[in-house]
Amino acid sequence: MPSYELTLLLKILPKNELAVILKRAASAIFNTGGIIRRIDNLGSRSTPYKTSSHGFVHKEASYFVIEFDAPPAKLDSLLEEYNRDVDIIRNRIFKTNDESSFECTIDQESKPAPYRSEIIKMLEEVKKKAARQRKYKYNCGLDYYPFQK
Amino acid sequence: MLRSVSVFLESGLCGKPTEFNNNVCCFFNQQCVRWRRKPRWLPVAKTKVFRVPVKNHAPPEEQKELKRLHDNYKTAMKSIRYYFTQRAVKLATGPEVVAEHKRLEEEDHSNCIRLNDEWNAEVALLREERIMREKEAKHEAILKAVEDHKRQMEERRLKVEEFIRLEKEKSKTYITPQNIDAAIERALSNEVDYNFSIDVQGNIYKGRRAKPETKKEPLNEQKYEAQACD
Repeated sequence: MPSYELTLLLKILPKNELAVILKRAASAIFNTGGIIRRIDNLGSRSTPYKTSSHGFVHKEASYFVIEFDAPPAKLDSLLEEYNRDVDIIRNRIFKTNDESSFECTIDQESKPAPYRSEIIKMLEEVKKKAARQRKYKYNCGLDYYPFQK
Repeated sequence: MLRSVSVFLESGLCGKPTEFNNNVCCFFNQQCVRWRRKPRWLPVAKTKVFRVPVKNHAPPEEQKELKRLHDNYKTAMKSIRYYFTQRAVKLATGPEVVAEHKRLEEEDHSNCIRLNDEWNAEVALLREERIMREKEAKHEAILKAVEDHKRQMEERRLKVEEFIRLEKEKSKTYITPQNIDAAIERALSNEVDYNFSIDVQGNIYKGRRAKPETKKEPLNEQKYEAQACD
């Protein structure tokens, strides 16, 4: 089962009610046969724009991130269930990236252009190409230029 | 119609009827048939319409003689031509000629076959060599593929085992229906902030509104004294 991240924007509600909503969301995941790895509370914050959901306009929301594993075939039913939940303003499911494969190249990227390895490679290519092209020699005996100028 | 056109031109365009032909030459790209005198469409001149040219009749004896000579010449030529034709046909289709031709052809054919066999033998040698070479290459490639596959499978097995080991370790922290309430309680009481800022030295300041601590500079007394003097 691949790992996914579920981002939830909940209504601004007291703590105990938020716990009930989260329990509902979590049990939906458990019902698909999945497990939860982590639950993060990002706090209550104003939304970037007025967000209407289930007939109400929201300007603030409680942000939660749930990292979970679930069968991919069940994701649609999960989303459908969360869309039906009137206390959830927005929900999205993303596939988590494998962070171990990330390589930081900021040292390379922050150099000035002529010192970057890729630019050096490109310049070498250009030099090679220029060396390959034959140039007309003016002392070759012809007293006129044979090509178009 | 041509006549009418010429009349029209004569009456309308040209001042002098005597220069008509020359003028027409300028207007049309005409074709002269009578050596630069008249265009093709002009009729016989009025003065020459009823002129009957006199025929030059030879005397009958002379005509007879001429015909005899002509006939003799034609007959001789015909017989010579026939003779040569027959000879050419004989040269091409006589039994000896045909036999010789056939012999030459057979000789040429056998020569071709011999040459072809030689070439085939040469090519067969080369082909054998090439096939052997390819076979060996293929054998090596297959061995290498098998080795690669084994190595890949081993790598994959190790990777999977490592993954399983990590997952087993992580499974201790999984949130299950048994401990969901505690997890939710913990999450609600601990707010997390992913945001951070970083400066050029690589120091990381965690938090959405985090700022580096600014050092308070010690008061420069001399500076204040100088200001006081002013």
